[in-house]
Amino acid sequence: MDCNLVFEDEIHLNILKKILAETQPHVTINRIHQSGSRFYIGKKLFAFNRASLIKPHIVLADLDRIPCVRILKQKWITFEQSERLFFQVAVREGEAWLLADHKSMSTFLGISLNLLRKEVRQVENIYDPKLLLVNLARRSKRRQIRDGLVPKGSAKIGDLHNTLLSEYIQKQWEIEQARIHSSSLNRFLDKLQVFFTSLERR
Amino acid sequence: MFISRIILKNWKNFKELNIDLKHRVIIVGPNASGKSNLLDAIRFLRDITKSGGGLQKAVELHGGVSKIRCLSARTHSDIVIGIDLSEDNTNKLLWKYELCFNQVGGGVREFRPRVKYEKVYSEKKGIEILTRPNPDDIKDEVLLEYTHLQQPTTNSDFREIADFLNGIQYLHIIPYLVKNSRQIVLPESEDYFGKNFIERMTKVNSNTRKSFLKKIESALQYAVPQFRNLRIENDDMGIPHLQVSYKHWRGQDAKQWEDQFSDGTLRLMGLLWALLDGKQPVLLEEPELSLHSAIVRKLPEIIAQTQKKRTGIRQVFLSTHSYELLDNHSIQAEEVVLLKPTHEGTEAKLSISDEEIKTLLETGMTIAEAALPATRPPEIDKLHQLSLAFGDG
Repeated sequence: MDCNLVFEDEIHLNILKKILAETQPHVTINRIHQSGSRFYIGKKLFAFNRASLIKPHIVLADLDRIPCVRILKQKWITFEQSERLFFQVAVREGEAWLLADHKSMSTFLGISLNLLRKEVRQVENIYDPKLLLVNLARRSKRRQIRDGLVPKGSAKIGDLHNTLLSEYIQKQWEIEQARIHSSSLNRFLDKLQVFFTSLERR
Repeated sequence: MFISRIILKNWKNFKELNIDLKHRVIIVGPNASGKSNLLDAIRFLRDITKSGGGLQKAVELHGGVSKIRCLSARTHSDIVIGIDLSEDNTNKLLWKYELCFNQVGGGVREFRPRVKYEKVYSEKKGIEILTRPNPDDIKDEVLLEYTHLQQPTTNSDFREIADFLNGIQYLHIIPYLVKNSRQIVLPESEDYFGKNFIERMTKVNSNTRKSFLKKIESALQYAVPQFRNLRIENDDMGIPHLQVSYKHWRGQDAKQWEDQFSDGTLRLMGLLWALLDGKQPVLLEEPELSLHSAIVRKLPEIIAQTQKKRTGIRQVFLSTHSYELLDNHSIQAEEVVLLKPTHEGTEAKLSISDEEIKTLLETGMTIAEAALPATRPPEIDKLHQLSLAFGDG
């Protein structure tokens, strides 16, 4: 079976690819719609809902500053959602799901597990996961991490943010560990399983 | 008249292609999918008809039969190019032309391209008015080294096709070549690669040239507000050059020659000139290059405006990677040719024939939003993960 992906950024893409490869190995990716912003996904969700009648669509967006998932869904899903459209939200950003695998993340960042655990007790409560990641990277023992993840000037992320984190996702990030500490990831994985099981049944 | 259908077999990337075309044809696809090769097929027909052209010359200009032939061609290695020509306003079919060729020779004999068949169908007469090989060709096979399309003595019944193809223009301005035209020796080419761009401008009669330059100048006013009074001036050697007055902090404007223009300015001038000059199809290779995204967004409408000629509608072919160019609700899915590389060569289809794209367009998306994802290379996100840094690997 093949499906289309709709998401905001490269971190999302790598997360989705890893999740699909590990939990739904029979699924292949057909087309990729990278939007660059959450607002775009919100505006076009109706279109992807229609297109999902032709190919199943998996949509992942960040919650960012919106108070809660329910409010975001109320605002965006103003139509009858197709059973072939899978839509879930990362609380508050994809990076939070990455931080949720404490052990791998501390190894990757080159900081102690204790320090990471102290800062990342509840990933769902982190207001700005990208900023936290940057602040942790500042304290890294690894020069490559400090150089690549800490932003320069007015930039919000480091100049190798996507490169380094994509590699982390592919080689180090463990989904089963991360879902323990992130309820939005856990919900994503449970619902994805249900989604594909019901698609196959039909 | 316009090219309403193109048929290719074993042409470069394309093992097989058969698509309907509109007056605006926009070719999209990943790198190396064959966007230029599709334009190249049309240029090939043009090269057959131009003076000093012909089949042998056209094949030579396009790299020889072995470079033209599709890598996926196996038992059937003949190369076919066919076109339908239709009437501008009614879209009624007028002509069909189809050429099939291959090469003979080998061993001590030089390889020579040779016509396998050549056919012309006239809708007016309702019959095929040319079918080769004919008895003469069978008697003297050397005749098959020439198309009937290229020879005035043999194309009199379908001269209209030859004249039409001969008028096709191609634009791919390389600013470096325009600026250094005296130092660089290029193989002969009638195309707007740059070297002969200004020379082409001088060949137009002076009133038309003045009117074109005025139009370009008025468009440039918005894109490059410092520019005024665009003209062609000869240097001491009598060689024509582009010149503008350039407004700056001093009271009097400064003069600038084309070698001082920015790449974007030159490309925009070339693009506007190519759109204004001529009635037959114009082929544009990535017209967005070097241009500000705000200008690129205007290109579809600039093109639409210049297509309407007193004599009919001028057909425009363009290849593009530009999101901005395609992010325009006026572009129809029927105009967009999607290329997709496969192991058996590149597949080409109109984006209207893709159900997903069609559905997304119905909900109000633009071609950029709906169709570009279909051209994205599947593993492109891994590009930056290569060991590009010094010392790695």
